[in-house]
Amino acid sequence: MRKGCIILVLLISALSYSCTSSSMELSTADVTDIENIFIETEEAEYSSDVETIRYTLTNNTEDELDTEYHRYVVEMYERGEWYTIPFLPSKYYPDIGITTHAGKTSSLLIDIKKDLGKLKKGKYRILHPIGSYPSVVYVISEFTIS
Amino acid sequence: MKKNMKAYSFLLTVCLLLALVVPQHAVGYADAVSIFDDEIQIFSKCLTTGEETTQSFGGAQNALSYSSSSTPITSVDPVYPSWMTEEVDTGGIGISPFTIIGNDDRTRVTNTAAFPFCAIVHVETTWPNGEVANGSGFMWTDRVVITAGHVVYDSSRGGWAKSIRVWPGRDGTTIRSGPHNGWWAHAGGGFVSSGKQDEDYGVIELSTAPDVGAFGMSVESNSTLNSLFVTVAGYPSPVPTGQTARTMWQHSGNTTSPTTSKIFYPIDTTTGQSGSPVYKSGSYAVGIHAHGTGGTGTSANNNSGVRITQDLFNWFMTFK
Repeated sequence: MRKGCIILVLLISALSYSCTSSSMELSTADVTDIENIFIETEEAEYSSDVETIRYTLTNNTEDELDTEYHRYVVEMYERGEWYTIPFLPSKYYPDIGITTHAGKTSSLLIDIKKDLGKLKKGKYRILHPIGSYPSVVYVISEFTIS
Repeated sequence: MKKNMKAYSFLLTVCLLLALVVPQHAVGYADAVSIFDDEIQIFSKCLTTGEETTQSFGGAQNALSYSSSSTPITSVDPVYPSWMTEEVDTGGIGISPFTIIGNDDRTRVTNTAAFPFCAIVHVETTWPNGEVANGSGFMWTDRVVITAGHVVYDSSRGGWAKSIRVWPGRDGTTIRSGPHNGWWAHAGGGFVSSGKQDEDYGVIELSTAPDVGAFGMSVESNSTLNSLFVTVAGYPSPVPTGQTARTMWQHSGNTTSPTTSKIFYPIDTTTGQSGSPVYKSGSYAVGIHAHGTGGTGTSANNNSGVRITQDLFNWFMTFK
């Protein structure tokens, strides 16, 4: 794993976290396995005219991992805070999920030009959602625009 | 004199031809144009041979062949499975409509053997790069599934699906039928060529036929679609926390503010539900679920799907 890549877990909601897996008939990775799930951008640094950024989702749990496809968030670091970059109005959200098998990776593409527009120089991070309502956590990878 | 006779004969012939040909086609064309205003383009790929085709459907040229019918067919009834002795239709029964999107009000469908749930399918797509996506769809004929375009085609993953597997009426590991393999995949030309949302619809032709019945379909007016009670049922991926994967979930509510090619509804959905039927009471699909909230205007706080327009309906009817 690249040094610059950090994984930060944000617990958005802990509701129903006590749900046991005893009723589960089909094994999928739960948010409790979050330490074994991470993302990493292809490059650590991109130029300001970058049009697409591809990142890899790695599932090192022992189960299949179902995640959302187009619900990533991009944030910019400025004056000591992270700010969410709003999507362009033209961005749309196909309701399709991806499955990453145990020990495998999936490749995800962000269309920067189409979804976010031109990014100025600075430090950024991608947040990829893991889990589903009511418990969603994010795995994170940083990159810079220079 | 001889010259004049020739001219008169020519004129008479032209007039006779016009009298015979023009009125019929002109009337038929005029009628048809109001029904078939646009030509739609369909891109297709055979998943076994790799053959790719493009076809156009609808528009004025195609409309002529329909000109004899002054009343276009705008709906088709559902088909019940052969094993069903009674026409038990649970379609359209959902929980009360709600107004706030954001809270998950979906409920799990446990009786997936009942119609129309048995005709709602989990779609597993494997892309050329080996990655796997999950979507939904619904049976249209005994071996044709309707779904969203992005369930069968994704330009960021190599284009057309490499393979598609379908399970009707799935309930976790309880498999009632399948997997049924995709044979041909079709998608709206505008979606394939430029990602146009309005054309984000698809069709999967299966190599085997599950006996699970098929949805009906209905073309609805703007005023009807401005407030029509509908249900969206499909296979979310991921499922709500702590729940069994590959299970079916549904939610109901009223549609709002349709456009010429899309319908909107504050009905809860998540990823994996693309391709789900948006259906009214009686199991008549009026749309194909495709997109989550986002952007501005109506789409900012409503999920949305591709509207069953007359042109789209006519194209789907070619599979019947």
